[in-house]
Amino acid sequence: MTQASIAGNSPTFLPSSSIEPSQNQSAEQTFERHPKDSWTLAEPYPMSRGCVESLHGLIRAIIPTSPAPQWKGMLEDIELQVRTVLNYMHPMTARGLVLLIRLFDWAPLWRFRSIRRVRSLATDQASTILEGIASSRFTSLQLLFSGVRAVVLSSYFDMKPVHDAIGYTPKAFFAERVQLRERLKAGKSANPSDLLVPNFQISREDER
Amino acid sequence: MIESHANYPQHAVYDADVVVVGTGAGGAPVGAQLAQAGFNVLFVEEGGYHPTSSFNPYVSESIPRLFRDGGATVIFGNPPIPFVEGRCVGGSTVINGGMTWRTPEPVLAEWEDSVRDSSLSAQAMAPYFERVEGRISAKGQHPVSVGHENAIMYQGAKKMGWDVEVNHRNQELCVGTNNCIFGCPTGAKQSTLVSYMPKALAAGAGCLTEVRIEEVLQQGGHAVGVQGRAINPRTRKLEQKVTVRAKIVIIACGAIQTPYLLLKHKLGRQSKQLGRNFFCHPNAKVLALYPNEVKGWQGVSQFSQIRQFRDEGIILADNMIGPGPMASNIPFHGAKAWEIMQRYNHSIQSGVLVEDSKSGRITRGPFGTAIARYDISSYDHTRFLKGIRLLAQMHFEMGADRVILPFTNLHEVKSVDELERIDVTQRKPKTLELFTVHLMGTARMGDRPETSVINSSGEMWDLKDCYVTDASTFPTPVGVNPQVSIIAMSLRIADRIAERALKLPKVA
Repeated sequence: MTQASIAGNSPTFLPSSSIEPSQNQSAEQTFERHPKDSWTLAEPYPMSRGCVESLHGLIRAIIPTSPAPQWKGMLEDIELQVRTVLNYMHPMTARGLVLLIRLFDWAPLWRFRSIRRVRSLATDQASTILEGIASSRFTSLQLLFSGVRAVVLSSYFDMKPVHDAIGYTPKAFFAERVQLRERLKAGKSANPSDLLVPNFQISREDER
Repeated sequence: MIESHANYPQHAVYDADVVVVGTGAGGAPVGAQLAQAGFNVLFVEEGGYHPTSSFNPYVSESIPRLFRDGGATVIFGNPPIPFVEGRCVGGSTVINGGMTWRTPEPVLAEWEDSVRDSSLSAQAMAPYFERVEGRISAKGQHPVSVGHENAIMYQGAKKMGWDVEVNHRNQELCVGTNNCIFGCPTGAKQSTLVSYMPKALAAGAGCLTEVRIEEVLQQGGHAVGVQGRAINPRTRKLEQKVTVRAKIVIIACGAIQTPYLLLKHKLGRQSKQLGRNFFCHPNAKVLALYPNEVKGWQGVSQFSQIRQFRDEGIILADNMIGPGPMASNIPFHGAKAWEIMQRYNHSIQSGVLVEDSKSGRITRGPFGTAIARYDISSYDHTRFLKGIRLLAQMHFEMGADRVILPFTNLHEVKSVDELERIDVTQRKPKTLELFTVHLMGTARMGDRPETSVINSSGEMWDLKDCYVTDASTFPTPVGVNPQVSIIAMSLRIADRIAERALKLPKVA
């Protein structure tokens, strides 16, 4: 690569060792959040305090209540994830979602169900009002709500306490599989216990 | 060498023989081939560089890291169709399921006929497919990667008496972590991140990451470079100006972003085809809950495809995903969502893919938005209803006790008999919930500037030295997972560029 002219400071290059070698993987990988790949996570999307309260109200009404996992700081954890992903969206989409958060906080009023906002209602009552929007005869209203619901639920169900509660334990599984792959790469055969489905057979005619 | 936002000065200017915008299936292969042929190649990628070692099971990290606009992208129409595409080094190949189907021969015959170029015939394209399959290691799965979900789908098809075909996938010793669409954590999936890009970089190519290209530089009817701005990874704002001057410009940003970029320059005016001819293989998800534990997250993404209805343009397959994205797909919240999600380990997500029968369009909207518009036809609607009914029926045959359907007005059924309700409730397409990942055809290849955007060598009719090598070149929908078709087409265009460009003087 030739740099014809550079205004300002000369750039620094990453060492060529940072180039991804084919099929690499370290058996010591932990699969934790925020790995050391020099990736910078975006700041949370800027929101006013009122908007954050609206978001908290919606989170409370959308996520499942006990016996589903609840933990200290849960609302803030979900808020942080929602606001972070908002910053990766197209600015128009992010602004639209923030407007929807406000709109749905006021839903009890414009649905003529209560004079209080979602954030001030009991969780069950708020959830029922949102249920009405989700099954509205206006498809566009349903779709707009599904956008907000999706971003909240995907954040909640991406949390470790929830993973534990539903029996989703991918880190241990990934680590075990990486070790298995290392063994296979070294030319060793798989053990019967490595098969996820013992005795699974396919017909030869179905192979390409 | 890979550079990122932190490396760029206020205005960085680079020179290269060839600049390739995009590092996915369309960009990386053409850049790698030209770099290996001795050209000075510079890639420009809007996303970041994320190595295999950084992939983890948390979608709240992988989606912002790897997906365009945090996955919040939608095709407007009746019904609206959410879609995802990659935005990282490796592009959508980092987040695809890894299926490796060659372009079907009837499709190639159609392309050969419409482009009037025998080099698109099945026979002429065969060596390209072989090269691609060798490079990305397209082959059948190792038995250790097959999970219960895969087995149920395969055995279900056999039980129904349907034709099922085991997929070849671009993998080297895949061990079945089923995280393909959020970044393969073992490095087995041979995305361009681990196949073509290392070859290109080893051959001396460079890669500017975190740069969004905003315009193609032109001089006297020739493309002479590209210009854009670096994205601050912390604020996501566009900052430093980055200019790349090059003798050849290759655009490979995908079927939405490619026309978006080129439409800025009012190109393709003669045919008015730029942005049109948009296909997306829409698909619908069917979630089945089984009484016994399935652990669908252990296994491989799409071990097989049910191809019994291929002649009608319908393909059925499994598409298991993590709990985060699954929760965002189900039509419930609160206690009802928990009722479904606590049975995550008992669930199988599957899908119905329908080949397009009509096309949509990409236009430039205000505030830097690419607007995709696409309506399904009544024929597509009928095929979706058929595919959904068949898939649900198969799940019940295999013992599922509950199936969540992709309709806004019919969320679930608990027996085969209840499937009758589909006929009663589904009158209009607007109640369908669709999704897609296969975007194609918005800068179609052709034999005349009056009917197409690029010629059979991939060069734009009205902008010399500007080539398009991604799925937007397809004259018609490909009807199968498009990865191999895109790479083969990209390599074919690379050969044409190399032949022509060898006559050009190189950058010193």
